[in-house]
Amino acid sequence: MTGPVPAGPGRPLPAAPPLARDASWHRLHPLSPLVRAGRQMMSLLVVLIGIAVLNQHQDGNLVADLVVIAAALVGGFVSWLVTRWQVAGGVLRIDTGLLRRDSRRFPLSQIQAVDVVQTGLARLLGLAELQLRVAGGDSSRGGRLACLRLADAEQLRRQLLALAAIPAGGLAPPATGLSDQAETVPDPVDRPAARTLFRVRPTRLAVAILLTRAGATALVVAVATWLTAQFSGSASVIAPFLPVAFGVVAALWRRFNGEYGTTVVAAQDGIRLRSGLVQTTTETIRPGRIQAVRLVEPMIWRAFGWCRLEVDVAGSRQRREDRAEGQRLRALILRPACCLANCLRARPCRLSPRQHLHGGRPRSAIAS
Amino acid sequence: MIDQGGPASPRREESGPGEPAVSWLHPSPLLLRARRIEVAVVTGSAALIGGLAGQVVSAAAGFAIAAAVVLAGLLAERFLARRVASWGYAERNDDLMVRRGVLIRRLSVIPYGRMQFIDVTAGPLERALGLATLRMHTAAAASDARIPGLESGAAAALRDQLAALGEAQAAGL
Repeated sequence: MTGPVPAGPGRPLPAAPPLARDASWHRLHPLSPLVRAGRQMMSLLVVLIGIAVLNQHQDGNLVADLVVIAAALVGGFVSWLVTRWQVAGGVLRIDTGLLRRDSRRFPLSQIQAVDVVQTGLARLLGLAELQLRVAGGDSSRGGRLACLRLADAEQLRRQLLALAAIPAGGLAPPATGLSDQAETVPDPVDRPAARTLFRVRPTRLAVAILLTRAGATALVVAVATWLTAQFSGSASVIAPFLPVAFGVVAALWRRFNGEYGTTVVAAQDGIRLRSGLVQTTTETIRPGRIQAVRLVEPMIWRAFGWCRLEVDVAGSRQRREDRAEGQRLRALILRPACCLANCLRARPCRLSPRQHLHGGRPRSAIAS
Repeated sequence: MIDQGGPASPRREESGPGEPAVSWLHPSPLLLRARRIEVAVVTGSAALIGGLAGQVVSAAAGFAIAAAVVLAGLLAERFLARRVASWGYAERNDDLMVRRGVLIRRLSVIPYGRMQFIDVTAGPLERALGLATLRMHTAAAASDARIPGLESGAAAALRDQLAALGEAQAAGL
């Protein structure tokens, strides 16, 4: 991740050319309708198989379901057909929509962060979704390219971040390729390679989640269920508890799944946060775009010396399941607490010479 | 209010409220037609549904409701021209000004450097008339500005220009 490597080790060569040419239109990956439909498609398939198994003689139902699926696929295909994107002149442009045409321009200098998100299905297919985080606008209006091949998405992220770091005045002509663009980025002498600042161990994450309010709730529910079953003597009494228990477990699982293996890497083009068990997310926050850093220490965690570090970035993230999370970026559990905070605080300062080189706009250390 | 402006280029007007030096550009005259069609469709369907619902009570009630809806639609159409004509935008060196409104006049000034991203949308009716709506997003959700009824070419040109200016003057939030 230290620089654009068009033919890196283990990376297929054909991935490079489509992105290396600037100012040409690209389409998303042909399989992206399938991934975008993802969850609904899965449940639909399950229902369909169930129906097919249950009543094999009534062909009418099956045909109707097939028609529904075909319509969904055609709709997805059409939306894929009319969606295209382009990087030209320091602007990412996304055109989409069949009936209601929508054309969006994202000046790359306004990007706050770039996320590469892979859902479980996308990981199976080797695809990834690229999300731009820009300030303002609701989450549905942010830039979203779903889906690209993983290698393409990572390369595009590098390209976007490299272009975003170049000030408008010194913008290379749009005709130059990716490698040329990258070479115009002056290498600071002390440029560090991607450096892992912190990694959250799964065991600590699990224990920490159990020690929060959600974990305590789960514990109370479990104990109540168990006591009820014990005293009444029959297992059927616990049936009313099941939905609550399911909800609590789902909430715990969502947190664990989302924050599993959180890794903070100080990369060349920003701070990179990687996390996720089934659905993995890699967020890259541009240097100087962190609005605030917060350390939260719940009471029980204090005994262990753990705390949660929250980073605010302008622009909400676009994960469907984490909508309530809003602008709160990431929860980390670490020890000792001050270490990473200092690292984060130190990073923009250390970067500032490069920012002066690029933008000539001095930014204050953390709340820029 | 809406007279025959050049169909290709936005019409210019050399005076604005409190800013005599600003030259205001206006949306295409076709915007009025689009709005009229919208009002006609809404009025027609509302009259139909209201009339049919009124028929349940009595035939006279149905006709009365339909007539009232049509009257309201005609009244709205009377004000439409002034509302459409009140839209205006001006590109200055450092910012874009957008004004709108008849009863309550609004004037938004958006510095180019504060623009986060730009959106151009065109619904089916707008596309049939060759129009598009341009929307500028700033970091504050409340201060988004839009300009409806730009001709597609003008919208694209303005969008490119705004994106370039925004890039050049980016405040880098």
